[in-house]
Amino acid sequence: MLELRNLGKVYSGKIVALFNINLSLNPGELLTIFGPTGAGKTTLIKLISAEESPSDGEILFDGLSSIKLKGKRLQEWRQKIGTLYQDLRLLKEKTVARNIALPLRVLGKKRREIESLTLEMLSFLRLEARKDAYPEELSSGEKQKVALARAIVSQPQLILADEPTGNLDPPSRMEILNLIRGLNHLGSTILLTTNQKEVADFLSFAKVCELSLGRIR
Amino acid sequence: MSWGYSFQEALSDFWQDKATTLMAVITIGFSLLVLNFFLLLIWNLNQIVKDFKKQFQMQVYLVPSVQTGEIADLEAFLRAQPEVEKAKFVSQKEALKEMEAFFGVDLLKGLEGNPLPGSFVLDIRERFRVPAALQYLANKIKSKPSVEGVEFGKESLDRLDNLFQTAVKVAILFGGFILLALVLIVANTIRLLMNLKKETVRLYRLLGARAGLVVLPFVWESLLLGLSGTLLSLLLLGGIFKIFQLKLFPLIFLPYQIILFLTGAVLVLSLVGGLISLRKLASV
Repeated sequence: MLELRNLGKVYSGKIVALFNINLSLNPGELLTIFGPTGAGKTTLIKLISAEESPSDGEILFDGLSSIKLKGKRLQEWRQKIGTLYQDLRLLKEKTVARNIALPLRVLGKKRREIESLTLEMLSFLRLEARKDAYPEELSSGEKQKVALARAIVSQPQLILADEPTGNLDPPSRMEILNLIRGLNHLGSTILLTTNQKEVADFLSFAKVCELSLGRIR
Repeated sequence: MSWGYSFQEALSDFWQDKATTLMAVITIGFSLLVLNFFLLLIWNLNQIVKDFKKQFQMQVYLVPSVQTGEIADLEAFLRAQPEVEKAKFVSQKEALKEMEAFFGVDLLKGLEGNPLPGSFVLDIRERFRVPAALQYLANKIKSKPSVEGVEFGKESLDRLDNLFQTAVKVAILFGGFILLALVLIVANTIRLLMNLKKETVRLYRLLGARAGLVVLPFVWESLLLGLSGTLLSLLLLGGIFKIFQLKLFPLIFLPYQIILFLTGAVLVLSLVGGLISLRKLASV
């Protein structure tokens, strides 16, 4: 489903963020990329989610190539991926429900379907009571759950989670990790990055790769 | 593409960024008020000119020695002119009677005879009530030997016509500047709103949204800016109109056709202003 071939990313012509990355991910798999801050994890997420383009190599995803990815193919690529960003990127002017519904709007779903899927997601993550709240009224754990809900609501083929437990207290961290594990058990394909050893250990039932200074070890 | 959803988005953004949008609406509203007030004055001036022209008549004075036959010939000549709608002969006697009725005194007291000339009063067809056409007709009539002189208030008509033409020219120039300013104000406001929403726009694109979905709320916002500005200007114009009616002199309000045309023009120009800024969104 996802294959990274000799993937590299160089910034400003000299800063090597990623070098010769070769990875593959099959449907239903969970892959954890573990590495310290500055290892290139977020860059990797940005390349896979087509937020940035690779300097070298190629990404193959669901029959599409990252080479010369633009226009409709770029939209299609992005629509098939749900990303939980490290900085969450929740829209502060929109309520929890409207934040979660965004990918469904982008896909052009009907109003009724959007409402029912959003409610389903709110209930799945036990956020019903917060549906009309704005992001700034939420706790860190709740924000993380809303961002996760937005990443999975459209049932994307691939879920990317960039440091999903970054600034969470231990109970919230466990809740998020259990949710991710649950999603994977339900068949979701997930690529997750973390710099927390305990997170990598918790998810060690699945594939774990170590990334350091832009290289896979 | 969900038009309803994007309109909802635009309305909610319009409200959320009220500081920016309110400033823009006030600026547009007051700029358009200047234009609308000018249009109101021109419209009223146009009515005054029309009324003046409606009551307009041309006087053809005859030489004292004119004979009955000559009067009949002249009448036939006058009626044959395409400019003339009606020609009414006023004899010396009738002229004197009218004048006496007007002044309320016996004018012939102390005079040897009636000094007033006989005349024709001409009603001119509306399309010929312009200085050049009237002058042309007057010259034709003056060439007749039985005619002593022709009067048609040329100076007043010239002055009114010049005033009206100047006002129209100033309005076009002024209006042009104001409408250009409107495009720039809307373009600038949309650019500001886009900057405020940079992250939102970026997120939409990262989720795989088509350019249309991202652009549409801003298009609506451009139209809302123009519409709100127009409504504000009309509201203010209505207030000024009332003050004129009550305190100064009665005016006629702009007809709805002009208001509709102006609103349409403002909406089109607001759209142009918005699109100028929105070109950049495609590359986000």
